[in-house]
Amino acid sequence: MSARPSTGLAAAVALYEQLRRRPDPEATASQLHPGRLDPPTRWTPDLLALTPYASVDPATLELEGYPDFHAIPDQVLDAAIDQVVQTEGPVHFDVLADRLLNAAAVGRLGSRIRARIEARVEQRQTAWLAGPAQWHQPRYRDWREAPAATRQLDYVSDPELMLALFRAVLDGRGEDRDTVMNNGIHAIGFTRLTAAARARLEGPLEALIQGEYLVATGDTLRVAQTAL
Amino acid sequence: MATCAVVCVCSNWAMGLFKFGDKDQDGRQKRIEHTGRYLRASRTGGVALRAHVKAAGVNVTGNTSRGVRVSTRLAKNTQVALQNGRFVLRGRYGSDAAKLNLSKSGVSVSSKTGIGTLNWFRPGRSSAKFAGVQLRGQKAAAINGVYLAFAVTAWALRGMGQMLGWLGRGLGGALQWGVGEWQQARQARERLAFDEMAVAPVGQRILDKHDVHPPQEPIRDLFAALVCLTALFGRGHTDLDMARVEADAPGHPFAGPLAADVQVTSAQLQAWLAPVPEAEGPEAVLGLLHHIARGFADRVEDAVRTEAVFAIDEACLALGPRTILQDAMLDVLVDALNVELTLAGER
Repeated sequence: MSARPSTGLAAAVALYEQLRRRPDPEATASQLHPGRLDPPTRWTPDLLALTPYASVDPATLELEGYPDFHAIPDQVLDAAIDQVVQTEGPVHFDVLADRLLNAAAVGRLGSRIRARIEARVEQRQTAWLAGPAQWHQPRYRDWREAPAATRQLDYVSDPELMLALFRAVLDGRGEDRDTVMNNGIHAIGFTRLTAAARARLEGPLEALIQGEYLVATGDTLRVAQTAL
Repeated sequence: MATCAVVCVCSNWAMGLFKFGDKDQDGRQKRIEHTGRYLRASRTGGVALRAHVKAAGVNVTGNTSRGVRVSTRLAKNTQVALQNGRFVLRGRYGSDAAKLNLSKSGVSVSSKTGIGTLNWFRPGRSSAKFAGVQLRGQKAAAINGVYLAFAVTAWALRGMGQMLGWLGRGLGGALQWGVGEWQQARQARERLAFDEMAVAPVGQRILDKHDVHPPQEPIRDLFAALVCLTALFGRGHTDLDMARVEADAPGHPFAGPLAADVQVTSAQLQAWLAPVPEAEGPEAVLGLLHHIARGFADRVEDAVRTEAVFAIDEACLALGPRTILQDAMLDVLVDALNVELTLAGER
């Protein structure tokens, strides 16, 4: 059966990688590997292909028709917030506010409106809002597809930046820190590695190393055996 | 220097004059002679002046050594002539292999040979040319005879060589076929023969008992289970040596995760197989393989299924020569994955 040159287990590893990198929506049982489909409890890299950033359509938030923002009932505002987070999470608070104001046809984020929105999302620990799954396993998104005002590196959450850096190492787009940072953000749509961007990326990169997702040997980074 | 130049010019003139180096239509040296417009000089004919006119379809040729000749074309390839009052009839028909020659005295048959022409009825009318020297008569017949004898011998030897080649190839093919048949028969004796109908129900009973539905399991785990069942259980192992995976795919970030997935599925499969009666041993593991492979096949494209067969076969071989059980497993795998294998050279 083996007319080709023997590759040992390399062919199995290559095919396994191919299978890991494809979506598997029909997987609903986990008898072969108990716990496989449990939601992740720690940061987990998404291995699927880059997908366009999907932003919420303000018209679907149903915030129109109210005399002012404070007239919007709490449950309607909560539903709109949930929808924005579900669609765009991890989403920065400012982006969330922008989507709500657009949907309600309000021009400016005043302090009272900010306080109202903050009151509805008071449990958040960071500037970003996300469901647990979005936080632990963010999607690999192409920010070139995001609305112009949203397309800022400061609006990209730490877990998502970790993913961009991890994918740069995994996909072989660089080994040293600077190249990984540059190629990592370039892949998701940010073309310039400025000093500010470098400072922004230091934290997520360190988190990857501390979390044993990447191994740093000198300036060289590689994927840890337990990362996947 | 001037003498040398004169010698060279004379030499070239002589070469051109007597057709030295000129080739006939068969690529051989032309007859050594000079044929100018009015002058002909040859070894046997000597030097002769000649002139030729044609009027009303009649050729008139005057030659200082042959006299006057009047000739005309009677039909295609047929000529009648009067030469010094003597009637001449000449005809030559057919192919080079057997030409029919017509003359006053009757007909004869001649064949072109590599060296001249051999007249079969009147060997004295044969001709031969060797190095531009034209010979006729019995000498030519003898030379043609010798030439033909050599040609027939060479042809016979070549024919024998070809026959021996065909015979050799025929014998080689027969031998190869025989060895192939013998090997297949030997492998068939050594193979475990299980068909789908025999193993599928046993596998299904195990899956039902543990409420397992392969089509719903993650593809990565189905593949890990296929590797585990075939490469490990097929040779009586339960653990995949991580060092071996690392050695085959050094530094590959997915090498460790594959080994880890295989380990977890190995534990699960062992748990499912443990309570199975001994009597159902091979059928049980083959039955599980069948259903897991079917679940895998339903979710991936043709190319991936084919890659899976080769990858799993390579994984088996990476851990040692295939066992008899592994041969049977690969048969089940190929069937369940619906992969059509074409042997090298087969169309």
